[in-house]
Amino acid sequence: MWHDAALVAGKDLRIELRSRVGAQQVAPFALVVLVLFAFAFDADHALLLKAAPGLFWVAVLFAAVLSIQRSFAVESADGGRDRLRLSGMDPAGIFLGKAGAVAVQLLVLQLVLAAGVAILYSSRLGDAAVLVATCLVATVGLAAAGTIYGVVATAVGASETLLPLLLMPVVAPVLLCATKAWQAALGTGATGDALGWLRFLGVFAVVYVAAGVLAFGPLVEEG
Amino acid sequence: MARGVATRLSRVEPVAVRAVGALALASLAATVVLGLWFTPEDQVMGNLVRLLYVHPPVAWVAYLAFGVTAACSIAYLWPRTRSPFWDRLGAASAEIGVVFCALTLATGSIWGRPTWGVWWTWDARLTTTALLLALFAGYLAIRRVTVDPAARAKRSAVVALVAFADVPIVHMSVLWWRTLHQPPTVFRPGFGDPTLATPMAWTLLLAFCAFTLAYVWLLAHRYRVAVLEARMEGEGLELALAERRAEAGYGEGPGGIEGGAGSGGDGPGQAPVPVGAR
Amino acid sequence: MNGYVEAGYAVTLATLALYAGWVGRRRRALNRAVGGGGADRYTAEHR
Repeated sequence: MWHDAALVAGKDLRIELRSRVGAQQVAPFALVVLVLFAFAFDADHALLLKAAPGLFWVAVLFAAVLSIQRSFAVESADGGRDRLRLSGMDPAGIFLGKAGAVAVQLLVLQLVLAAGVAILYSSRLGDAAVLVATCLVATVGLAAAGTIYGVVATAVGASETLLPLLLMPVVAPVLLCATKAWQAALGTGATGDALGWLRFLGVFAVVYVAAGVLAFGPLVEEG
Repeated sequence: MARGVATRLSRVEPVAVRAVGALALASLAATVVLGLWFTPEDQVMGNLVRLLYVHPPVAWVAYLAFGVTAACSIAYLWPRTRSPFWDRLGAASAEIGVVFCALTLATGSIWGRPTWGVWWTWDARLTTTALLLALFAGYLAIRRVTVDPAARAKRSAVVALVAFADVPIVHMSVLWWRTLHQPPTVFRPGFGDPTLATPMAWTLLLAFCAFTLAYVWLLAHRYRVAVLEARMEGEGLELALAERRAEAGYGEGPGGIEGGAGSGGDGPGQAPVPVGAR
Repeated sequence: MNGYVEAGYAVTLATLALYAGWVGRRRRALNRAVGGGGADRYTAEHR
């Protein structure tokens, strides 16, 4: 299972490295979203600083939808899906591989976005341990839930419109908890301990990784 | 097992469904009459307490319907109990659940406006219910766009379970999010609540039964639609061809076919959903 | 104040009636489409 996962993840990441869709389209788009938020808030410095954690995570969510769509568009082109099924790999391994590749891309993207937030909104990124831990745990949950819905939505060929509708409500708790944890770390929001929010994110990640490992078999085996 | 359930359902179905329908209509009418005129006003909420007989039962049916969908999805995904019956029942229940969930939000808003002064507040239950509506709207959307019945059943079952697993997480996180700021504001109706006067408690119980019966009745009818839809999917092409041929043969357009089928179909023994019953 | 109560009841009952009507309409249309037979058609599925 782990071997298959590594194979699939390696393949996906190699495709991304060569095609540079993530670097040239998804990351710039996420940065544009950050700029648009500044327009929407009239570049009010205090307000942007206060809202920075939420804006960061909303931008991550938008970018995640794009990454997941991209990750499955790769499979549906040229019958890659059928070949993946024929390869005899463990469905759970395929799931973990695809989710892992998405997670790696999202983490790189978050690095870029964090720099963007620090520069554009002049947030001081203090308490790096909490910030990084939040990113890691939230990304696992996002990638797992996204991969489950990705395979569901792309198989029907209406993924552009269907995936956001399916995915956004499900990952709403990730947005909420990750934003709260970041607020606690940056000292902007109300208060609350970051650890509690991290625990929620952890539960979410565990639930969706388990769901994906269990559900991917039935989902993949039939077109 | 599922086949057995379906067979038994089909045998007792015409009588039982009509009985449930009649009971549902009668109890709903009684709820409205009791709720609007015969129950006392509340000391705190005044006349507004009458919404108690609508809003909580509707919310309960929404949760019940989604729970049934989740249970059906498990039954479908479990290889031993896999049967189109569970898929259709789950889909039927989800659609009714979406209707009741939307109604929950609507009646809640109508109640919230005079009580809290706002149509909407970021309370844990409100937020969870709204997300629930979005999640199951997604479930219906994915059913609509998937063509192959087996793939649709599997995918939608997974979507339903994923959505259902999300509910407690959403609820807990929103609860924690909001309680940092304000105490829970939702008026908590409870059957065991000693502050609830007896006629109110009985009317509330009646209302819960009435809406649950209405749900069962709708579910039975919606399930039949699902069966007919599946049949249509199977026979769709042949039927369309036959219709075109008949049209060409008779030369009197679709009206002739409709009339012919209608006379055989909606006989007096049929119990269609009474559109203008209320 | 009273308008809200009536509105709540009206919205609920109207929505349920509309939905029930829609289910019934779909069912009759499908029944016609698969060749009539009404409930017989439904029971035939599970003979």
